[in-house]
Amino acid sequence: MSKRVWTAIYGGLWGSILLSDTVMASGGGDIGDVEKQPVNMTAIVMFLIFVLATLGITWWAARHTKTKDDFYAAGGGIKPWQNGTAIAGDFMSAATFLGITAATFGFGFDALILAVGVMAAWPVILFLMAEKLRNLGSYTFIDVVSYRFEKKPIRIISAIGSLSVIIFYLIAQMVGAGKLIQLLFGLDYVYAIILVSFLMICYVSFGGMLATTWVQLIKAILLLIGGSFIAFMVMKNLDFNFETLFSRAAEHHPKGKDILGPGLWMQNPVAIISIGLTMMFGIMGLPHILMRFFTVKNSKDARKSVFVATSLMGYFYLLIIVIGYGAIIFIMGNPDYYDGAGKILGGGNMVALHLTHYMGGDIMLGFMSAVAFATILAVVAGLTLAGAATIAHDLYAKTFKTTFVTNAEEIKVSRIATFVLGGISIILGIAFEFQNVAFVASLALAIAASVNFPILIVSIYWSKMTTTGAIGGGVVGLVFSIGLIILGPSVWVDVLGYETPIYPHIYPTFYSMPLAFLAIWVFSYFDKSPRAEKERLLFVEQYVRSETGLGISTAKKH
Amino acid sequence: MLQPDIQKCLDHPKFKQLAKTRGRLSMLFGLIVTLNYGLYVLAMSFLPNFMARSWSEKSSVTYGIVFAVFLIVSGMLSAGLYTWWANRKFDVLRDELMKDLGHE
Repeated sequence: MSKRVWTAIYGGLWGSILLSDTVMASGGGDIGDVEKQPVNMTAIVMFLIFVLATLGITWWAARHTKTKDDFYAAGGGIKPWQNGTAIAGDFMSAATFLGITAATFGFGFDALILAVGVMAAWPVILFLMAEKLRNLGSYTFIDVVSYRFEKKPIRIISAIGSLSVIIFYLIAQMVGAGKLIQLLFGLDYVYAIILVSFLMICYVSFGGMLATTWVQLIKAILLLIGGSFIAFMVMKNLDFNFETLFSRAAEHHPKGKDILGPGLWMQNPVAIISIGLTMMFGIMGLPHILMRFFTVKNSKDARKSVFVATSLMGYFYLLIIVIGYGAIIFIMGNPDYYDGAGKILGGGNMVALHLTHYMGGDIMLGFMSAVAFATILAVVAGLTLAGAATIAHDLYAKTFKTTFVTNAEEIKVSRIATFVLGGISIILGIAFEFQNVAFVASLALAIAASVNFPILIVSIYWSKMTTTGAIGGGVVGLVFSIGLIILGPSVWVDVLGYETPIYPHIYPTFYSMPLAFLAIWVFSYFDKSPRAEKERLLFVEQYVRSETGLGISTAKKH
Repeated sequence: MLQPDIQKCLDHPKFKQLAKTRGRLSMLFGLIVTLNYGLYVLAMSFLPNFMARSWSEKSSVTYGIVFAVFLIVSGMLSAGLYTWWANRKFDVLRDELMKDLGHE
């Protein structure tokens, strides 16, 4: 093939991936420019089967969801393997499958940091956080943070952090869902958004955590099966030789051997370290993930769930490496998957699905399209549940209501919150249809890494932290993560239309996270109030409980 | 003023043993994983040529790819190792402690 054609193919690819890059990969859902595709019947039928099955589960779960304990934490009765698979499901998203494959297709090696970051975060969550979270909290990570601090201010600042992460994440997912449906099923964007919100409200408001977990679990298993199949077929075509995988990919890619080393995507150390920090520590501050630790009965089960989750994710990321480099070999330059102008059909993020089609034909494509969409559904359900718990439990019951809140009342409030969040998602999903939502998902992870994570980890480990320190750290983290993103390329240039960004990098975490830690330390250090003294003394009690689980609520059986 | 059962637990030798060994083990594991990941990110930033070098004469597989796969696999293994260890040692110790203190 002539060099000019290659450049055209590569150029088209580049444009579509740059829109989405990290976003898809990090759990967002922006899939860039898409064209509406013809109606795909196989995919629609398979998706309908999934929807019916999950609605059946929701109906079953609803009968087991009576108390707030059931609603937020499935009564603490989820088994470790179920919880672990659901956690893994939260990460094996459409974003991972489509996004990391697309990024590997375009940039090669640099894309792997998205997988490696997750695989570094999870073991550390296991070693330093899982057991302590389970021992200290009851429904949300905010319970843990507020253990020894003044309830009202600490719950408000953490809830702001938590809800901003959830809302930004939801927007990215909704827009991604709408575009994905256009792409996969040939349905209208607005219908897609309404359908997603409707199903998500059903799962969460009726089935609570139990239904949400099962939806995520089933989807994770389907995705693992599909991914294994594609990776297996790729390797079969290459005689199961990994050497061939990488050497043929390098021969086939216009950038040659450069795709086997760093530098095609990011060169600047601050940019690389920022994304490195965001990937690792953002994950440790995602409210819908942290919430899953309260669905198992004790710290032993929390530990087991993380092990299951880490193993499944590791396996899946290994598959993705094969799928990503495999796509370079089999899809890049394959005229079946390019239009006349040399652009990939449906945009850069379709490469994983093109490879699915190449390896498994129409049936497999229909299956994986349905799974990709089910994935978004499962993730938004988890997010909405976390949001509803924050609003009903942390804000309504524990902060603003001075009188005792009954079980029924709290569940009612969380159902209302679910409906409101569903409504907000529809409105924002439609409002952001034509926006570049790349920044939204980076914002979500950056806030998680710069606000939720520092407050949480320091409150668990540092006895001298005080309420003032937590609030100082939270505010500094919020201001710098949001501020630097607004001044950075994704908002200042792409949304506001200025020529050059004031802050040159996409992720603010290189500055915002260390500054949040520093603020926590400074504000706590200079806090000499009597309240601070009391809070420092309370650390001993928190410490004993975090180590042993003395006095935690016990699980019930389903 | 501490609640009496908290104080009792805090002074119990088994609690001290549990907190000390688990604290050390989790810190050690956490440090190893974080350091490996840190090295990976720093090598991407400052040693791109090393990461792009083939790891043997004939192979096109680079040090970077080997490093990435190593991190993914070692993440799985270290999680397994810690879980195995903690389930065998710490939970037994914790249950004994709870029994000594008269809970459950």
